[in-house]
Amino acid sequence: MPMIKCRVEPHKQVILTVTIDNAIAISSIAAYFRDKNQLPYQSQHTKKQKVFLVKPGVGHEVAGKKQPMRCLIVATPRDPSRPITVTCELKGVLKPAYIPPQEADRVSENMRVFDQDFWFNA
Amino acid sequence: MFKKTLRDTRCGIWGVGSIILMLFLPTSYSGQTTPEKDAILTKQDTVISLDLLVTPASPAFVVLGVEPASIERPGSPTDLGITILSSTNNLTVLPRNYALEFTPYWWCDGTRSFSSFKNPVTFLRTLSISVATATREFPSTDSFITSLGLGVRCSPFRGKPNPVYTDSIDNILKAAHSFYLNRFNELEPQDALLKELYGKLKDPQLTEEERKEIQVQIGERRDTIKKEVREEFLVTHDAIIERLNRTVDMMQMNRIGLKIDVAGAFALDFPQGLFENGTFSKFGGWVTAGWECPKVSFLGVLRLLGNSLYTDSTSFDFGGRLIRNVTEDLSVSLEGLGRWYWKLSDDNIHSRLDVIVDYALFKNNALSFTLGKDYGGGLTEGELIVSMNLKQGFGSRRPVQKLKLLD
Repeated sequence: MPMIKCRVEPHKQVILTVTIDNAIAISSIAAYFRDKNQLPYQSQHTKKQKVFLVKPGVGHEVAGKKQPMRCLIVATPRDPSRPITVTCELKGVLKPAYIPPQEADRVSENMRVFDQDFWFNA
Repeated sequence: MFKKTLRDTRCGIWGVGSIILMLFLPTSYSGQTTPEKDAILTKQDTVISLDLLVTPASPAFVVLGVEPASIERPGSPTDLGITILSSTNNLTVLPRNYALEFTPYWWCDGTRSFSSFKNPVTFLRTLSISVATATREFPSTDSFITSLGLGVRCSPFRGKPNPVYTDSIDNILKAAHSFYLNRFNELEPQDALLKELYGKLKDPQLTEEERKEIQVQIGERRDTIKKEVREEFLVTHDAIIERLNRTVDMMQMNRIGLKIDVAGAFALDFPQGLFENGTFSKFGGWVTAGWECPKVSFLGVLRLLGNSLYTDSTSFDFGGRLIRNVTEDLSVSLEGLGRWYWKLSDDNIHSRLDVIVDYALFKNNALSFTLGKDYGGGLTEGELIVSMNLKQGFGSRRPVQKLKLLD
């Protein structure tokens, strides 16, 4: 999964919303920079979608880290014949305005991994 | 006398042969896959291998009056099922009752979309056709009747997946998540190339283009480490992957909630086993419905059984079956039924009461043992029911179409 490079708004809170479709079960999300401290998140799961809201921090703070943020989710598909699709939305960033939905990587018939890096620049 | 002995000998050879065949089939039948076959199937489509057989049930046995359980537990049929039933007073005679059951839906065009497969409302894909034979002997006249039954069964409602398995899946996913997280965190700081690249990033003389290039290189290197971690996981955690597959299979097939089965059958009698003597003898239709919980289930049945030769023996059955699932493989049931005959001279309600033990020997193989008191009359000899029933299902792989959401 190629890294997603972002340009932040310096004084705005960066919020990442991760929506997972076609998952019957998921591990919790792990989002962190290289200091390995887990970033705070909220989960808003519905019957059809699993949603996580991650708050990496204010724009100039996350850009100042000069390192990628890792976002990891392990899931089981509801329908193994279809991919698990993950849609990421970023608030508090100038670019990118839109991130296309991605397919989680296939580990086995019943296990998929979404392991995405984000790099925030000023 | 010679005829009977010869027939018994043939029956015995066939019975012994069948039992031996049944015992050895699990390792040799064509439904089993080789690694090569698996690889081909994986390339073509997603294939799900399921443990479908819940309990032996062939409607054709019911119309012949030799069924091991009068109230069948709704299940998911395999492509082809064979049942060998030994039903005697003391289990001293080799099995003479056989049934073949198959599901045309999976034979005609096996590839279906998974969304339709997991839909609780089903009809065509659970439609099964069964053929059964039973032999009734009359020692006093040295005669016998071979009966051939043909039955149809389908499950319009088969419940919802059991949520009990979700916890188990969650724990497996947490273990996998923990490995991906921790193993990457161990390897990433030790990587010499990454150390060098992160060091370069601190250089204040870097141009914007150079900084972007280093970020791309860091991203690519991290991706390489992630790939190595994933490959290591596949090697070191194959047991977890297998456990997850099994749990997901169980969740899909071990269903709870409302279940309804509809079945019908008819029988032909062949006195002395001669084809030209064949006559249409019995017919029947019934509905089995109930509610299944993870540990306890209750099923009820309403059934009409007719007899074209003796119209006054047309009967109406009603009853219930309480099932206790002791383990994933073992269940014990108590079954009670009442039978009311159409004829005016007999207003009594005849009862049947039995205990059934079902055991899943291994995947798609089930053994059931029945002990109890029968209605009396019919094909069963005496009031006591003692029967042993072995059923093997063939072909439980369910190919599903690959649907591309994203181009």
